[in-house]
Amino acid sequence: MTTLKPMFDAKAAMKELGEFNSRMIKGAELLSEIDEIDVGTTPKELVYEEDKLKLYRYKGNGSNKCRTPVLIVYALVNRQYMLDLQPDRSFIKNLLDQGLDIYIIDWGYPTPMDRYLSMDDYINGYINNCVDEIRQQSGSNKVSLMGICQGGTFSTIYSALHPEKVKNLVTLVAPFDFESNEALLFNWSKHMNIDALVDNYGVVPGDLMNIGFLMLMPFNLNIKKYIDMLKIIEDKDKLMNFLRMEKWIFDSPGQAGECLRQFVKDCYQGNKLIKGELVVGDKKVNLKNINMPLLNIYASADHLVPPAATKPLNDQVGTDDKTLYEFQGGHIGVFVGSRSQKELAPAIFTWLNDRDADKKSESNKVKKNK
Amino acid sequence: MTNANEYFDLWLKAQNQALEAMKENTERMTALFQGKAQTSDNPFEMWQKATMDAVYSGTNNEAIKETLAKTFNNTNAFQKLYDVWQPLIKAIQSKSVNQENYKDLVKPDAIKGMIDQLFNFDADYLMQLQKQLAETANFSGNAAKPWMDATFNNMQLFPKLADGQPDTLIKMFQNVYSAFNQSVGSNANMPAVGKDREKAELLGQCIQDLSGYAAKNAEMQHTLYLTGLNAMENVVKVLADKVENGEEEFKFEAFFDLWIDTNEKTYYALFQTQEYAKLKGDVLEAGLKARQGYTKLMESVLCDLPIALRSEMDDLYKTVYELRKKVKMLEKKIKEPKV
Repeated sequence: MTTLKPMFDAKAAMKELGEFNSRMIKGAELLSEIDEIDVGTTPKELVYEEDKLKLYRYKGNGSNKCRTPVLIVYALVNRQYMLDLQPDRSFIKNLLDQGLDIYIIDWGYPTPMDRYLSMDDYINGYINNCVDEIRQQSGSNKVSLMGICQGGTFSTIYSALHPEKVKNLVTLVAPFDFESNEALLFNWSKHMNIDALVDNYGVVPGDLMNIGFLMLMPFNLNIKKYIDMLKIIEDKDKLMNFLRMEKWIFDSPGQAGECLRQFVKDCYQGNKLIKGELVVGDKKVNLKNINMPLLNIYASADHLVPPAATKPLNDQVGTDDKTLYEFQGGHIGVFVGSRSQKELAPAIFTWLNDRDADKKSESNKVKKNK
Repeated sequence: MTNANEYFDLWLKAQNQALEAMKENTERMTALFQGKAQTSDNPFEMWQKATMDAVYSGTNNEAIKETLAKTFNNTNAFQKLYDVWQPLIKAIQSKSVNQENYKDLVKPDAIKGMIDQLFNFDADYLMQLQKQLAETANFSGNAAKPWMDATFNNMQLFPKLADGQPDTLIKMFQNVYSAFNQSVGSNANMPAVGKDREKAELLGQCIQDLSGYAAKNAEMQHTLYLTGLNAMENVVKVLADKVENGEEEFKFEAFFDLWIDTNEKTYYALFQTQEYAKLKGDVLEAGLKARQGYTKLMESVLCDLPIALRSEMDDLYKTVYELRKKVKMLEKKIKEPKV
């Protein structure tokens, strides 16, 4: 048995804890002075509404280098303003400045009345109507789809079902192959009684989903994050960015039950999309129908959608023009990290712009039906 | 001063002094502190609550309120970890830290407190549900009372079950058996009639489902407690290694980081297992079953009142959904160009 020499300075430790509490007091004072947490500040206009969905078009600088409009389809979980969270690090603003014409879907907040909305309603209904609306408003025969996370899965399904309307498909951190248990969410979902969950709640509360997400890294997300916040609490800019992220994380809409039921059963549990067995509406989703150019972006350290769930899409699609892009970072870093601004947004623009060469032939093909 | 407790007392006094200074500067906080100062024995809790109240009153922003609540709750866990750390300091000061006795230095109760807070294990929640059921039982006559009592007694035993005391199960069984004897045991073959019977059956089912949920939840709690202790043992092992290697500077904040990283890794290993994923699924399913039963029971109690029940609203929502879909389809057809 080894006896060890004393090494702790108790006085210093007490001082350390005292300083920590002083920071908390200062932080509390500063927090009380903040009235508003501004998010999603890039100017945009409402161009279409349907039920709770709103379709916005961002106001760019007027020089759209790419003529084909881009429709961003965000996940049903959480809110789309993640892409425009900080004014100084806005993914949207960056893409606008590059020269894209951007539309974005705001899914809104489902209420109990929306419990019966299905994947068919979201994909063949809402997304399809938005695509048609943009085609009509812009005069472009096709749109480029940019789907994020679950929105990437939906965009891919849409592209397979309606390839004639999609010019390019860009997916970011989206799951396609659900076989892997690399990420906890995939493992846990396989043992979830989704029928019981949906039958109970109808619209599954966002808070319930959030608890699940927080439990993926319980110590970092529930404790350390807030302790670390106290280290930057005296810097108002950093504090505001922390609060913006907090606002986004906990701004979680409920999930329309029937849609969630099919997504969990057929995708997470049945892995039907990649197997070619998924049916949406009355049609089977054949990924070989994806004959438009594909840019599939994954994050190397994604703990929510692991690369193993994203990468296999490129082996299943029908197009030869397919690009797999690795972003060094995590699921959220793809949109708010500084490297995202410097590297990813310009790379997406360049990729789209390169494939916009036949822009003249694509424009003004749509007959307006008004 | 060589005793850690003395320093701690000194630190608490210093905190109180800091609060006194703040009182003079801020009228709003002064009022709150004066209002709370005599009601709490714990200076930290007093300070925490008063500060939180003061800031809450100063902001209408929900996101800030939520962040504050989380910050305060979780910094409380930070303080609790300090309680865990204290025996370690003492042991090191008395030159008794070594890799053989580290288990004796970990306080299971303190670890349990942190895990309860982190994973939202709230014993009061089940008690509240039980109370709600008890109130509902008033609609169902005295036959339900022994079952409610048995459930109440069993609820109080679940924490012991979670702590891994096997004789708890026997006590729980005795409670249920006693309830059976007092209620239906003597006239088990006599069927009740009508709505009351329906309610009593639903209530019985509810109690059973709630007990099932509590038992599954206790199993999960037990698993998480064991993992927490395991993680803490790993932390102390690393700490002991550092001490052995003669590391001179070791701050509480570094200990905190070590504790977070070790716990995250240890829990991640648990979370990845199929056994845990299944247990998590079972807990959710048991909870949902209990919830569904409770909803049914509520509907049976409320069905005579002139209000729309949830199941009726769901039917209505379905009709609205189908009609809306039909209208959209027709609108689209009208807009389509005629050939």
